[in-house]
Amino acid sequence: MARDPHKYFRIEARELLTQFGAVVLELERDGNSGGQVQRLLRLAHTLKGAARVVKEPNIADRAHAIEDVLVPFREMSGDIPRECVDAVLNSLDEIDGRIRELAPAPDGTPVVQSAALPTEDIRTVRADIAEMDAVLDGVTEAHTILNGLRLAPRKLEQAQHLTALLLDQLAPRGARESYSPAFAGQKTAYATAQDLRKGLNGVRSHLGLAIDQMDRELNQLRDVAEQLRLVSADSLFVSLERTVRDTGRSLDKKVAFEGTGGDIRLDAHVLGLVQGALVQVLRNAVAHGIEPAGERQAAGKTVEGLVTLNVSRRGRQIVFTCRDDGRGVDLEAVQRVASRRGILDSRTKSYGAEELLRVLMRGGISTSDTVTEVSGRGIGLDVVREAIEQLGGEVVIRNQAGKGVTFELIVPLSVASLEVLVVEVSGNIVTIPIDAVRTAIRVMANDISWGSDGGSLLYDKVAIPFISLPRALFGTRSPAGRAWSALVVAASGSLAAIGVDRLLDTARVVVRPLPEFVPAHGMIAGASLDAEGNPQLVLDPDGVVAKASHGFTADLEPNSPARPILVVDDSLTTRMLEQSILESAGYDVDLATSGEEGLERARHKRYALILVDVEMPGMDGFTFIQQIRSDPALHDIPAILVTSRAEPEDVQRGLDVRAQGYIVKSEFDQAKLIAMIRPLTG
Amino acid sequence: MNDLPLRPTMRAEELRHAFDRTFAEPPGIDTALKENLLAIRLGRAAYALRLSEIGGVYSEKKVTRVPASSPALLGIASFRGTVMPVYDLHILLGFPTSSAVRRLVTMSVAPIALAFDTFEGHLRIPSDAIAPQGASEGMRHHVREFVRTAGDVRGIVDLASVIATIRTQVSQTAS
Repeated sequence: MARDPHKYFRIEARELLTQFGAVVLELERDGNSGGQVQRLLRLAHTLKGAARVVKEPNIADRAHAIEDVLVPFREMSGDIPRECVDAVLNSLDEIDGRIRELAPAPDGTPVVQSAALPTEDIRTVRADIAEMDAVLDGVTEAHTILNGLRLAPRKLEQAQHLTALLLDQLAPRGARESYSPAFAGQKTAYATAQDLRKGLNGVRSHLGLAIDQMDRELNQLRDVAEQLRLVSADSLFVSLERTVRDTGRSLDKKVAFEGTGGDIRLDAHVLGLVQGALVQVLRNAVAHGIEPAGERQAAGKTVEGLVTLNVSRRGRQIVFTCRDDGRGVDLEAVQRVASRRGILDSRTKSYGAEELLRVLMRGGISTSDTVTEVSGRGIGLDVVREAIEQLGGEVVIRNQAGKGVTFELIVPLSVASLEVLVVEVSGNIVTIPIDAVRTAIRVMANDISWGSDGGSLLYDKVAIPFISLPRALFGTRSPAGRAWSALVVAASGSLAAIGVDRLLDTARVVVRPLPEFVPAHGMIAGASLDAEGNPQLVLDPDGVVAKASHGFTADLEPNSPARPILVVDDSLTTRMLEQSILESAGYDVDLATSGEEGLERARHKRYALILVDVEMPGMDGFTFIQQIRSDPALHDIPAILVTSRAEPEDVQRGLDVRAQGYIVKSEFDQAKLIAMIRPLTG
Repeated sequence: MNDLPLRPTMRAEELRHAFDRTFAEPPGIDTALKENLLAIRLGRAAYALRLSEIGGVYSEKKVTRVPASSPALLGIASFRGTVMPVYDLHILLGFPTSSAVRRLVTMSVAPIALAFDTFEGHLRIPSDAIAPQGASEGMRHHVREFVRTAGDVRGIVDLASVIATIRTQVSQTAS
């Protein structure tokens, strides 16, 4: 027997009492205006079940008494009689007193009522999630400031260089000069400059080391803080196993529990809410699902029942699958009780299984013949549903008559820790959960077969779809004939190869959903923060495989019908630079050396976009765009001005002629150019 | 007329009375209501944002691209550990996009950041210096009020209207 058999019960009971207190006070203040009685009934039900499990009949009886007091008011709104509230509070006081008695004395025996308040070893602390987030924010900010400091050694290096020059100027040119009286002052300055050099050398080396060390420390701190915020799913298994075993024992049933997928780490808040729901599902499984030994034997089953819990990640969701090998839900009994209670129309002869299971989840239905210690009042499954809905998830039940029930508690992945592969896609860093990646392969252009519905390649003697991630995510076309680094990704029972630009690294990241006001994207699971606190996209393997499987009609065909871009510039350097950037991004490019030539080309060929220099001999860029805009055949072609002048007048002139953008040559940046062009070229 | 200087004891008494009087009088209240604005510029166009609707101003923040159908959505960025979308204020206000976008403001009224070119400073102006849009004025993108500042008339960006537009764009994309 455990040294402190009530340790976890006390924690749970205290938490329940705290919630009880808050809701009772709310009930007294506002009456039963927002389901307070229902909430209290659930709390009492949970406490009663837990108390029975640890063989604490006094507490269970008091909880049962609370249910008796409150059940008549379940469907009523308005004030509850004062004496009823008092009765509930009295029961709570009694329960509180009994819980205090359960705390072990230092010698391991429970204390008597008159003993002092329980003292527990504080080995773990429960941190508030908001406080943990504040720690993470602080670490991120500290990292940002530290990155700003990285410029300091470079500036010190410049100071060192200047000091070296100064020393060179002050150094004596020979023995004669060094002993001359006129050199006395210079000698002092020379000595000072030498001290300065020494000092600077020391500071630079110390600063560099200190920054690197702080960087490592902050990275470690961030990792620890992020991990602290998360809890591995197997932390649930011990208490859930206990729930199953003890519930079985109280009902004289032999039941085993198996938990799998416990290495998945989840937000503690999510896990806390799911835990309550899981306890309810498991108690239900044991009480209603698992048959007594005799019945099991008669049905050809093992005497010992089995309840399993599997935790798995399904794309952007975490699925808790609870399965029992019992008798399944008695759908006829559900219909009978629901009809009797007026939940279903008693005139309808038969409802479908789906409808009946949905009714069961709404609560208020108990098919148990008697009100047992752990179930039977019909309060339970609605707790499950509400807890999961509170997390934005859903509950799915599958019933197999005679074989058991499967509950799937599906909750969105709010925050989770994942091992990822870091890749580069169109100049962006993107990550993909490593457990979905089968392998990485090198794919040459002729390894891919392009059809009208996308690309395929042979992997392990089987054709699997291929998708270009630069194209799928950012619309970047790749030059014909390029080779790829490809990841073979497995998800939802299918395989697909995804082409990326480079494989970079592996990392452990904490994934959060994309923020509000960003449209959801099927291929994106969320975002994580890199060491500098900048977001990185995390791919959803299910979404990626689904996208690859559905194919891209205009993905990467070598003879892509995409329209070219026209570059109009009199400077050879600028033309070549822009052509090289645009072609690397997969665009076809035509060149013109003047506005007049550009217009001529535009009239003979349809362009997706025109990049035009402002200052050109002859027709300038403003006039060129004006001409385009006044030509009915060309007026809608997007045009971007490239200018070496950033005067507001020039920018305004660009706006006046309805240019779609302007780029200042001194600020020319490849990524910005592509980012500006991408939405305009579709 | 007595030109003699006050004796030190009388001077001290007078100072004490003056000091005590300051507690008896109500504090001076500036009755003119003031509006705090941030002056910004998009190309040559001058705008203002209400300070009360702004969470912070940032420069040179790294913005991570996200796949998006809206050209106004530049990507996402992290602000004190909170990831927010960054929208191009140029496009939202009907201008072409600009490579000169360098500044970001986060809204206090929604988890959204807006990108623009130039931050010009803080304006504190009397409330009655703000003029509503005239009935005959054509509808401007997300501007319903104007303020005259030194040498400029600035439209005050109506962030509630900007948020509504973004929300619509996001929901249309989702559907």
